[in-house]
Amino acid sequence: MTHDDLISALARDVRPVPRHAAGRRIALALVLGGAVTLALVVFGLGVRPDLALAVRGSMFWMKGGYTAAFAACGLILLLQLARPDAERIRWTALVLAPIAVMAVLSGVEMARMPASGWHALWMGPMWLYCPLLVLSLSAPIFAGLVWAFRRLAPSRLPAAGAAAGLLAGAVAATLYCLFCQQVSPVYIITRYTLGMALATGLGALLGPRLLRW
Amino acid sequence: MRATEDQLKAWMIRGLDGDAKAHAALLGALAPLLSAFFRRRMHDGQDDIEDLVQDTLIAIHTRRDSYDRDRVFSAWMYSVARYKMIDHFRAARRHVPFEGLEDILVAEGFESASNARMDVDVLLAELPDKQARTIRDTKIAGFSVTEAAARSEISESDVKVSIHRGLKSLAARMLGDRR
Repeated sequence: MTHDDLISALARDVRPVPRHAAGRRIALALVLGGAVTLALVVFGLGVRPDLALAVRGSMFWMKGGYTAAFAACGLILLLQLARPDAERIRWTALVLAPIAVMAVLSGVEMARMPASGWHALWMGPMWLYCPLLVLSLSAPIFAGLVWAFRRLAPSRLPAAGAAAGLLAGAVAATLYCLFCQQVSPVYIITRYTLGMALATGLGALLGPRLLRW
Repeated sequence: MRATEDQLKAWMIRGLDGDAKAHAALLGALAPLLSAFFRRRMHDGQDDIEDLVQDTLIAIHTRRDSYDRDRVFSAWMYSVARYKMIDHFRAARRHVPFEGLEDILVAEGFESASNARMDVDVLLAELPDKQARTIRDTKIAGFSVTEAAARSEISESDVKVSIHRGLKSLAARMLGDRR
């Protein structure tokens, strides 16, 4: 096939591309994947029975704010990594901000209780249950993002996969707040962070396979 | 004749708006640029290079959504080409030195159209809108003060003051960077 044949074949299919097309595709993927995850939380796990009461307390929003902050970080990074000319990625250090805030709150919580209770606070029974649920719930959103990237051009595949994993994990963790009744900062900084970190790591591993073009 | 950044970008944007002719013109102009880009960096046969050119043209076509109209087109285009070249070598299990995008743009003769403008855009983005716009109009686009005033619908003295203030705070910022 000559170049001219190829070019005229390609020019036969020129659909208009709106401004901010990459952002729109990613937003659509988040809505669709998020809807699946939300359905899994509502119909699979069940909404916490005391939700109406919980939304009046600050701890519910603090937990949701923590995970939503990671989602914002993931989105900022992913939008940059969707372009092939992403040389210098900016705002990476932003992920440290929510961790720092939650670490302070955890310190306050630990200072208020006897040291003998710390171990139970950190580990507790079934400490992997919550992170693995967050990881599983992130799968539909991650799948949506992989679909969105079929028209995008990441050149740093492990990083793009990690950002997609972080975004998917953080959105999943935010929706998971509708089910999980735990409000302890130590619980959140261990379980929720681990769940999102697992999603990020898995995304980095899968990125080069799934996002290659 | 060799296409310039401005010409390529204009074709790209018209193509993004659905203009098939402009899109075909863009791809036609890119083919020799890509061919030269790969030939300069690879010792493969002509067939391999032409295959890679076509691969890259297809990628530029199917991944158009990832181009941001406010950015430099040649930087985006050569990044796609660089990715395709690295992917080609990866498939052949050979290693290539990773080349920075700025080096590519310099080597391919797009330095002035891209590198400098990126810096200017970064700097101007920090100024208030009016100052950035008047500086861009008079110092980059080449309009006169009178024309710039008409474009922004402000008085000529307002244009002059805006340029003066803008340049002053840019100078202060750059000297501050160096210190």
